[in-house]
Amino acid sequence: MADPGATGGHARTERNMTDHRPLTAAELDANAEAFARVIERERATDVHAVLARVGSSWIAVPAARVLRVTRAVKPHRIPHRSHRALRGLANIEGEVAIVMDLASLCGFSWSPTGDDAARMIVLGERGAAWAFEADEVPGTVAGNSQDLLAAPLTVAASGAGFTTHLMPCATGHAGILDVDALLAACAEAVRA
Amino acid sequence: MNLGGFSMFDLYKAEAEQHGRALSDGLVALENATDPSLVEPLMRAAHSIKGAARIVGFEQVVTLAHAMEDCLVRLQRAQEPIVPARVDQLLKGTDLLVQSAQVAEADVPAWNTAHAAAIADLASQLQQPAAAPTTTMPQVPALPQVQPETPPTASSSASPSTTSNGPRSAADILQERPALPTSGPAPAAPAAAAPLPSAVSTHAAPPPTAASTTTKPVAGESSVMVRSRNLDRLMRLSGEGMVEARRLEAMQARLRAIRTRERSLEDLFDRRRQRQDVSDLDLEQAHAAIRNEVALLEADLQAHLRRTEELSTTLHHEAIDCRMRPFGDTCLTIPRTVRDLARSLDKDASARLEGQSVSVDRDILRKLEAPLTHLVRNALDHGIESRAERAGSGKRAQATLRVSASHQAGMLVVEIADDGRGIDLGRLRAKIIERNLSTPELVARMSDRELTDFLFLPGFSTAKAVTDLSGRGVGLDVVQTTVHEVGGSVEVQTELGRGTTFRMRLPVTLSVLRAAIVSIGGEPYAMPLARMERIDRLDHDALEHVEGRLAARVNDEVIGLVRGDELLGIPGDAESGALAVVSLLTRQRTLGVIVDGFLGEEDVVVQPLDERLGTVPHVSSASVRQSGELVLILDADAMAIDATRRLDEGTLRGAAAGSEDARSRRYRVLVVEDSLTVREVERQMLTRAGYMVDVAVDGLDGWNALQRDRYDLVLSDVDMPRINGLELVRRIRADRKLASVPVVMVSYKDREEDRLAGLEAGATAYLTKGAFHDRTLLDTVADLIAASAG
Repeated sequence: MADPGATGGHARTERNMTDHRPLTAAELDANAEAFARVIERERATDVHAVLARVGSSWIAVPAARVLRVTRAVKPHRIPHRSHRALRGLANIEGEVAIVMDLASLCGFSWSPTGDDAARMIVLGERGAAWAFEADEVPGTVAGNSQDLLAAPLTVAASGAGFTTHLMPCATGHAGILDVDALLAACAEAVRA
Repeated sequence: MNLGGFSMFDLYKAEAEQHGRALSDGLVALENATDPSLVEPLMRAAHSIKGAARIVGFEQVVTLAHAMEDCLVRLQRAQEPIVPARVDQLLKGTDLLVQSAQVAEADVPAWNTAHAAAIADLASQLQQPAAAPTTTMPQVPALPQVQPETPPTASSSASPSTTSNGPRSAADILQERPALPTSGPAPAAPAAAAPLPSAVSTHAAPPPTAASTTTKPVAGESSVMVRSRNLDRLMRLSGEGMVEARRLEAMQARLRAIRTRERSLEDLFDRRRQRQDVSDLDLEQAHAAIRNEVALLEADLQAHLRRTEELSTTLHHEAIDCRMRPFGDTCLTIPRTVRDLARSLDKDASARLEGQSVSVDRDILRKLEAPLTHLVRNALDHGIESRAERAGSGKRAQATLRVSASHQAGMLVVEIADDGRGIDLGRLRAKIIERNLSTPELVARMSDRELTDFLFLPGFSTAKAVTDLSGRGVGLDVVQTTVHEVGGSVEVQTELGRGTTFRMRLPVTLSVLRAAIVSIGGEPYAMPLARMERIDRLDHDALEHVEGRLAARVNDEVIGLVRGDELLGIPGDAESGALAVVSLLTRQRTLGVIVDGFLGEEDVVVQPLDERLGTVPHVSSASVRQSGELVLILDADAMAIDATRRLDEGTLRGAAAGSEDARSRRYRVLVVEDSLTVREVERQMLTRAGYMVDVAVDGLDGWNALQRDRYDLVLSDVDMPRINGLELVRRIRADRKLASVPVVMVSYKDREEDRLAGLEAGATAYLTKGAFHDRTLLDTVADLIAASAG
């Protein structure tokens, strides 16, 4: 036996699809308001970052600069290179990447835990990538640039200067990294 | 084979190239054997080209191929003898046929017009009886300067421009050969008696439009030829890979079925607990069914894993094999070159090719082409005697030039050996002294190898006369440079009156190497097998101390040991129980490197080390193991050289350590020189003058030494393997820490342009090795160190 409800629903859909009556001014206003809300919502999140934890510090890496996030692997040390920020080399999905110690570059001490949550964040360009270990990378975070806070004096004056601003996140605040400055410091460190 | 994607003209080109090569090889063989039965395949080849040319409207090719075919028919029927002059004409025709395969379709009418007269003449000659053998020596063009870079292959160099100064392949050179002088007038054929009109030579210099259209590389990615066998195997293996992957789906379904059974079992347990209406037998049966399913699945999974592992390993090897080509690919033109050049020099010689099927990386093969051609020409011009000279010394009339390839200890060894007159080492000594390149005392002490190394100096030639072909001393230095560029070496062995052998040792491939994987400091390193003697497992207790240095008895020999972790500057566990010793091949003695353990043997795909790291001493490159683990590939040569040096210096553990205070009071000079004799002379001179001297055996070794230690001055040779002196000084100048170190270059090269090249590269001073005779060298060193210290 045919399902009358289904037939009725089908008929209603057909009617809606062929219903091309002009919208009223009120409907147009309502639509414009809805679109404006969407745009506003998007404007409100103009900062997108990958959130990572290194020791007790939360770091926000601008998402556009992240090539990939992978499971952490132990880097291979490089003979005759003892710069504390140079951790070594690692195979990141078939590509040999230089692994740097973000904590050393920022001037604090930290050792990777190496547990299951540990990840590597790969920055830079394909073929010239830099990888950084993190204890965990829970995901991305979005925010509005107007909500960002200036880096505290203790960070700004530390000399490392990779944190441009602080971004509110679920765990408190994450320091937004100046990726260009960080990569320049990496390049300097491997030459030393 | 589906040829639907090719135009008729593409097919013509393929056919003309293939049959052209067969004609060229066959004609040379025919001349040596003068056997009419060898003619038939040549007739077929000419006939095939004629047919294909007719289809695409290549009229002149039709005319030429027809004339050649007619001529070959007469040879086959023994209506005329097979004489060199006739073979010359047929080869010339073959060259034109091959050249026609390089012409773009749009340029066919122009090519027809440009070659009409020449082809008509050649066709006419082919119809006439050939000239007498003694009157048909082709002229040979001047020796082209061999450059390190060469065009990919002879067949792909479609623009045989006569005006180009750039590198040219043997095929190009042969195509440029001028028309045959026909001093023996052929009866009833006045046209044949006259030299071929100039139009003939235009075949080697086609109109600019033709050249520009035929040589333009295809835009976009470069393409390489892969043997169809390789491609078939790759496709088959990738197909198997897909099948294996699908098996996993079936296994997943079976796993789900097991879960369902497991849930049923749980239900049985529940019912038994609640209502007690389930017997032990029911439970046992349900459990047994699950156990059986799991066992079957486990067996299948293991088989799958084994197959997948085998498959991926085979796939990996097959992909590597795609890079390889047979050595014979680079020998295609050699019999022809030998034949033509021998005739031009009025010599009798034939080529013997050996090891043509030896696999070589296509990059190495390409690099090998120019040096090989040069050495062949050199052997014909200088090594092989004239007919009269051979007859006088009781040798077989026909000289043999053997070109062979073989794999030896993981290296490709290419030999070019002639049974000619050999090199007179006495005359070589005299020449070295005459040119003031060294002192008579030093020359008297030089080994044969050190003496023959002078042959590779630019501008150095022992030839009595400069010929069109060679003798200007140009070329052998470029051969050496090219070989060094790929990490190889070249040496000469010679016996007066018996012949000369040039031996090139090259890596089989630049991209894959067979290596032992060892653990050092808890991390994997790849040690190229080609540089290793053996690996032995030892207990820590087996280590001994001899004069404070580590040693161990291995295979009835006590060998000196160094700790790998210490050599690499990596903290390791010095007191671990079992260990392995890798014995490295060094020039003087066996050196053992202590490693934590031996992890296996693998083919590793070489990935260059990240440029951002600069040079990392003792590490040549990186690789990713099949397990996905990163491994660093060690430069065993550098390790051996460095370990030996540091043991001598006492800067490795267990070695007799010198007092750093005492060392620091003296200025330190690094001598970088590949000749043992010269190096020793420099070391002794400087040591006597009060300097603390370290030595390095080539540029890379020197660079590594500079990375480790501080020096007040560097004294460097120019021509050295791996990194030459110019590159070394450039690196020093580009390095912040080293830029201010004075560098004195010392070389046999005394031309002004060589001196300028040294100074432009950044040398502080450039001296010739004549400076050893007086105090110039010591004064220069003293002045520069004083200036630098002040």
